[in-house]
Amino acid sequence: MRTLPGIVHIVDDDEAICDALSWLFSSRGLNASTYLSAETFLERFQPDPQHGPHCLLLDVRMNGMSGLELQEQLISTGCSVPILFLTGHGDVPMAVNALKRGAIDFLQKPFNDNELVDRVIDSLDKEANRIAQLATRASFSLRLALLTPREREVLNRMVLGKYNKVIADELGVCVRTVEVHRSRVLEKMGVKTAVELAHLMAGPNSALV
Amino acid sequence: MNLPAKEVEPLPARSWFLPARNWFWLVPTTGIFLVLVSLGALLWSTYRHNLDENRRTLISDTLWAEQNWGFHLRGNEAVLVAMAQEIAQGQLTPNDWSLRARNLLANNPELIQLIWEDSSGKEILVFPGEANMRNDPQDHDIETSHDALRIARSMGRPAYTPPYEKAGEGWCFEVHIPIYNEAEFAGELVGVYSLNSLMAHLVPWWHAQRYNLSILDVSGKIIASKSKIPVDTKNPSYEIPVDPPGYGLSVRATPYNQKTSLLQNSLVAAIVLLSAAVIWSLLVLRRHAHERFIADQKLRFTSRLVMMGEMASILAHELNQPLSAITSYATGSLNKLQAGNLQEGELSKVLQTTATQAQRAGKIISRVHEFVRRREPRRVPCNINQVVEEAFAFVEWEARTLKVRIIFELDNNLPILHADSLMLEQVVLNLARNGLESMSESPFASRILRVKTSSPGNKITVSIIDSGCGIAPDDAEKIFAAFYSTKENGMGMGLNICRSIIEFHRGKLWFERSHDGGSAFCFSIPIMTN
Repeated sequence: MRTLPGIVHIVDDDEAICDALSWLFSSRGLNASTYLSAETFLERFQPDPQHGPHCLLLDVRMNGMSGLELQEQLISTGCSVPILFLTGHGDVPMAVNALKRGAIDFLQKPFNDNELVDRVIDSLDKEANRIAQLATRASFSLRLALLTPREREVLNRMVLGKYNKVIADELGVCVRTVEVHRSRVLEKMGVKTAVELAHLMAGPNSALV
Repeated sequence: MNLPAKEVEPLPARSWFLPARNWFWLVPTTGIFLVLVSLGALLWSTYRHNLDENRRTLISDTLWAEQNWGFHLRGNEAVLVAMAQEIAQGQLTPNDWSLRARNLLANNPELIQLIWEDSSGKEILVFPGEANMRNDPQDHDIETSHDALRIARSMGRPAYTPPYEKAGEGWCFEVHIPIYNEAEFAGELVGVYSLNSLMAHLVPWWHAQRYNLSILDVSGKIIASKSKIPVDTKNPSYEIPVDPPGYGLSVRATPYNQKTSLLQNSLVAAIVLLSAAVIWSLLVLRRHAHERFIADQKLRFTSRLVMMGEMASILAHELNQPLSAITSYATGSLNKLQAGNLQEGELSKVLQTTATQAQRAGKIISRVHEFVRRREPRRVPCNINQVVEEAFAFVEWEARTLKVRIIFELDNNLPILHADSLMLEQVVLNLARNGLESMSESPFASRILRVKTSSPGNKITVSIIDSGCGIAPDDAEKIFAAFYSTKENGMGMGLNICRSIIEFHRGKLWFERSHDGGSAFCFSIPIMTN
């Protein structure tokens, strides 16, 4: 069976639940690690993107630190791992609070197991996308930084779909110079055409322009 | 077996409270009642005493006025008799007579005229005025004068005339004194009295201040009065005849409105106000106590429900853990089975843990069962009628507000039941409340709740029959189930608890449709001795 990328971290003080859930996730090809308390999780958890995306499945009420307290602590340390809550006494205000703080979902026991797995897979996918996007954004900003001020001016005009002649007029240089700049911009940004460049610039990083 | 039905009106005259609690109120209620009665008696006796005192004063003051009157007239009479003797003896010249008459009239202003007549009735001297100039002698004047003269002459002693009206003087009367010279009638002295002057001069100020004093003739007509101030004729008055002059003349004293003292009035007002306040506060106290009692009862009841709710919540959470583990194991196994990568060793391990979780769930349930079983009913000998009455005392208030008539048909010859009376009371209370609430939409005339107790065979049956909206056939199956309620705010625990309680007592609880569309909830409990 195909093993999906990513790890589900299950935090529940009931050993049977931990065991059953990890069996459930393994049946759908997901790696799961279990923790019997929030404290053990904090001790052992290493948010390492090398292992693919992470996802957290938290029981709300536990002995010691509660699921909501753990969420708070993770937020305060700047960790943005997606969190799904499991609860037997899910009351509305608690759920609202958790979701406001960025929890992905709030599932009330008894839940539909495969639906839970689906949601976990979904949030892992989203997390993977987010990480990939972050990486793209990082390389994009890096490339943008390589451009000279003049090349940046040319790029801004290229994105607007202007012809070389117009750009040359606006910048007060000859068309030949613009052509040289244009080829350098395409090369440095790692794209082949101006259209590709426009797509790249119109993406989530357009604010950088 | 059944006694004639005892009816209780929506506003029964009987106490609001249970007989058992009545003694608690009997003491203050009786005490306050006695205090109020004795205060009333005290006020009444003071009032009577005042009336008697006033009457005694009235009588003695009137008697005093009458005596004063008689004393004056007799005094004048004596003076005139002395004068007549002097005339008879020829010691009095006409000149002297006028002088004496002037003195006499000046000292006795009630005497307005003195006349000396000879034996033939001819006036010799008149003071004030001239002989033969008696002011407009009227017929009756002369006639009454003649009557008096005749009496005076024949009896040889003073005689009075009946009162007559004289122009300018009001009512007057005369005294006739015969003059005898050696047994020979030699004329008479006539004194004319004005009643108004008599009243003016003979009644002192203190008397006039307290009473309206008037002279009445024989027919009861007022012919002279001391004061013109009107007096309430309803006031108690006292009347005694005055003689002289006689002829049915009487003096009547009527007290002016008696001014009761301010102190006395405010005392009475204070007593009345305080009594009202005491009664009011007693009523408020009773009401408050009643409401608190009801509230306590409700609290006791709801706290039981809250406890049960809490228990249910704990139970739900506890059971959730093993159950969700079991489903997760099962779902995982199915997933693997479908994917075709389920290894045998894996499966047996998972099935084992699943079984362990199922056992865990079973243990939780048996623990709850044990907890519930610990509350066994405390069976004591009790009278089911008393239980019914005590339960209904709690709903009297509701029955009154809903204007429901409660009819008790209690069999008074029921055997003693060994049961937990508090629990049974709870059941009756619950059924009674349901019955009352079912009639909240019914027309007032048909709002009747009947309560029956009987003992058919070796058991006791209690029926609570309403004439309300009845129970829909769809609901009939479910009403005894937990968490099912036909009421908007119902918890759905009432009938469920009731049935549990009755089943504790090895009885049964059921309902029947009554012929008028309402429903009858009944329970029966077997009679068992300990």
